Amino acid sequence: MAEAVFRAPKRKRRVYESFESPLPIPFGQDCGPKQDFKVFTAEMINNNVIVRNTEDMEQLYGKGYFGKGILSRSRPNFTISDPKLVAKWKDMKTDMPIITSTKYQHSVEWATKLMQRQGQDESTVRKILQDYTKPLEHSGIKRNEEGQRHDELNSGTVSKMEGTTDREELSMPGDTQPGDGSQQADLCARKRGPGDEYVLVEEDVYDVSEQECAPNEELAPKKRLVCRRNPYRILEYLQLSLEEAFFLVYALGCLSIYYEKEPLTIMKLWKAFTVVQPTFRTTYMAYHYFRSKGWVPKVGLKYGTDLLLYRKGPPFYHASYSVIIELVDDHFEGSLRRPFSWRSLAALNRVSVNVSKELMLCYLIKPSTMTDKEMESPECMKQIKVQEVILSRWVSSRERSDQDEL
Amino acid sequence: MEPELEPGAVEVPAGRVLRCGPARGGAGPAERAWGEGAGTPDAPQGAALTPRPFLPQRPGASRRPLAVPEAASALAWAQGLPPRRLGLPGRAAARVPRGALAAAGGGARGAPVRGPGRAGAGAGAAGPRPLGGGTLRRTLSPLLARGSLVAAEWRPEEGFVELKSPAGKFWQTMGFSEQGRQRLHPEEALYLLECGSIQLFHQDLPLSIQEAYQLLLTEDAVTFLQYQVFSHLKRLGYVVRRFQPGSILSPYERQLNLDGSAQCLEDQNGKRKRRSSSFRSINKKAKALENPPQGVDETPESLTASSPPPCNQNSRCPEEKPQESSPVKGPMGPSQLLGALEPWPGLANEGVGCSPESGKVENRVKGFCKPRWNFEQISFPNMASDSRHTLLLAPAPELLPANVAGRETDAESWCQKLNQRKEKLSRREREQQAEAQRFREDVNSDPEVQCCSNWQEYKQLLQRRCLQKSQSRPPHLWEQPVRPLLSPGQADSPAIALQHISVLQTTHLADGGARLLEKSGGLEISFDIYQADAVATFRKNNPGKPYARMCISGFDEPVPDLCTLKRLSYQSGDVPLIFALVDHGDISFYSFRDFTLPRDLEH
Repeated sequence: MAEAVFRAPKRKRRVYESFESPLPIPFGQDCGPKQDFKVFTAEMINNNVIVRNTEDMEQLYGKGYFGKGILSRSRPNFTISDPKLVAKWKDMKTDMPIITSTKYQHSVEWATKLMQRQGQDESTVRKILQDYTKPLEHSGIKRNEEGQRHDELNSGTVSKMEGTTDREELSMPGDTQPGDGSQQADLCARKRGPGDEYVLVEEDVYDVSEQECAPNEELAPKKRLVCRRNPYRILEYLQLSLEEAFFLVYALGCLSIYYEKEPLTIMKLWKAFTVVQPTFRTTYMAYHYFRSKGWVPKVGLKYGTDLLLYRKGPPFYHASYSVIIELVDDHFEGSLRRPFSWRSLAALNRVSVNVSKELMLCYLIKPSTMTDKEMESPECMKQIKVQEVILSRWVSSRERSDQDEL
Repeated sequence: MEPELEPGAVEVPAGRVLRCGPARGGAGPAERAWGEGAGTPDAPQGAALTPRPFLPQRPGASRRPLAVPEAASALAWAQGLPPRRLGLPGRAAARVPRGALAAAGGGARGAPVRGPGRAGAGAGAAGPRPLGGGTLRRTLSPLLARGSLVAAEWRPEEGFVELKSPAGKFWQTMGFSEQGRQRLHPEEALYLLECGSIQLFHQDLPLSIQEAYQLLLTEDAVTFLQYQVFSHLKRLGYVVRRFQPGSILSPYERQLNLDGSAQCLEDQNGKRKRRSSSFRSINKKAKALENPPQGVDETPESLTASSPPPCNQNSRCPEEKPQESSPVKGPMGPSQLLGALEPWPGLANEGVGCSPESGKVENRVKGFCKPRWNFEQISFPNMASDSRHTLLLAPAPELLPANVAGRETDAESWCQKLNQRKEKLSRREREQQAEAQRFREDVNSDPEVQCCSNWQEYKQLLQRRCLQKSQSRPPHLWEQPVRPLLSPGQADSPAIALQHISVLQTTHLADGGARLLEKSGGLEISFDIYQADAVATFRKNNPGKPYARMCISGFDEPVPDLCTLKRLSYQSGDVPLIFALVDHGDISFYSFRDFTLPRDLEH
């Protein structure tokens, strides 16, 4: 049978991101021999792999496009910032989210209710919040490394007042305000802990002189941005699929998955993931294969297949291939994960062609000598062979005279 | 696209009614032979659907009243539909009994219908003739078709059609020669019949298209589906011939690149070899480093507790709650695995029945010292529900303080007070338990933990592990039988990293196909197809490499699995293979092609 021709992937018209690195590990050619190899951490929560640490999230998504933000479409870039306000104040050149005053009030209300649910009485709550939400000088806000460490106090109070859900976190200052000295000093004194989120709130400016001048007119109050702390912070996590998580652990060795603070070994993950998702081994082997070719596989749910293959990553190119994975034995027969009829295959082919992707069938051939015990270890992958087949439709009438490749 | 036509023949577009002009001069004796008798296709005037090109133009012939057999045959003829509409009726044609009035894939201009009883086939003198088959045979041999139609005879035993008169233009791309005679395959003959290039005879009588479908398309030679695909492609202009397995190049020939098409097998082989050698070296490394995994079946039962029992805590034994009693196998005694570890006494009853050894143990020095007691001989009764042993003997009096008297007791009553009901978990708790079962690893099955003899050592181990966690090679990944494929610092560039993690091998459709050839049944390749512009240079004896090969299947049949794909692709060689699927006359074509995803290194 003639080989299918490789068609170059279609580049997207507008690319907003820059490519950092194909994998989230340091390369010798970039950093030299002394590299600090960082091992990221993830947790198993409800049979899902979640990465909570912000830097880990940035690294894992930015280099290799692993995972998906749970509050975003793909890249974890959830922000409460109002895009209209950002456009309005775009010459402020700040990376803090800008929200309306109403929204900030909502935040404060939710924080109040949360603390009351936790048993604090109203006056304490009000006092704490008043102190926390007072305006700050925002021009000098930077991450201040040499500030005092209030970590212990911070973490102590945070853990005491943490809500039951994982997403919300109430961050409280650990110490009391030593008076209203210079605000810069305040910021220096208080290290920016992990829970503090600084936002710019657009508030009305009530200028008394203006009102006196024109009491009859109703001027639109001038607005200005006030920097405050958000007492009700919403955090976003990165969720990794089981295949992505296992790839980071097994192939790259750059992720550790914890279950209730206990790290899990590779064998344990291999077995446990199979229990959670019975077809995990098959889909993982195909995922590993395509990753080892330098392509980025993402889930193919939207097009009815198992994987979509991107070159470099979703922001740069449209997906080139839509893959269906099957596991067969040495005689090239096997019980299929999805037994096809020509009708369903024709439908899938049509859908793929409509979105400019090629339908690829990926057969994983395992030798018949492989026992079930061998399959219990990911080392069994070394004996598996992969056969890729491209399905395409041939139109008889069109290709009569021009020498199109089939 | 125009079908093959004899020069001078009339071409009839589908569905149009042909009103013939004056008779041509070429209508010679054949026409007279046919025309005289009652067998003329004198269809009744109302048969607007059936063009009848070869009306006999003898004066008065059209006004001759039709005899009854003629009318019957004509009526049968009237039911025919033009051949190009291959719809549902066409499919039924093959099964229609001869002469029945079912709608047939009748021809635009075909042989006259043979009515029931062959009444209409009479030839000879004018006027209704008696039914005489013998007369006809004598008169009609040699068979001569009308005009420039080529006459051909269907030979059912041999399964081909033999031309009785010289072939026309179609001979360039269709047919084959054997023993000096010109022959056609059934599908070719049927196609030409539908085109109107030949006339088919069987037992000296011309076949109607309906009858031809029925006779020529049998299950074993050419099926109806195959014929539909054949005619579809022929009409589009392709040259379609039967599959010639002999034209497959052997792998050796392919390597030599005999027909000039680009093959990069050598490159692929070379690449494959390189990759596999690196696999082997990686395999060896992995195997050398692999320790046989520790058995995780060392049950903690004999450990009696979920944490290494401290020897200092025995002094607190009397205050323990009953719930903490864990099963201790009585006669087996303490486990052999932990030589120096003291098993949890487990007899956590209030006051009475406390292990007599607790007193002794208080004297034990912390740490790993040789025990004074032979724990293999000290038995701890199992108080759990599986094998209850509640009769506790009196402790040895020399072990007790002076004014304390020991006595034996039956702890049965205490056991009754234990809450032995099975815990009823809510659904959420059950799910959590299931999840925990999947992911939680028992601390005691860790060999390092088992080596700890007391609580202090365990804490030290935990501290060490905590420090190690911040390293780049955490122990839970690197000190296990199965380790990550890429170690830190090993990847100098993305290409090298990818090479290290490539453990799956690529294979091709052509690999291993040879041994599948023994399997028969299932799909087979039917036709070789050549493109239309090759017609001018087409030589039947040396057609060259086909453009594609066809496998034909019904739309409701299952998709070929990898086994079939490999077998067929091996048979096809390097010619692309197309699957034609027929769904009630609609044909779709799909091809499965071998592919290897290229490695993307250009970052």
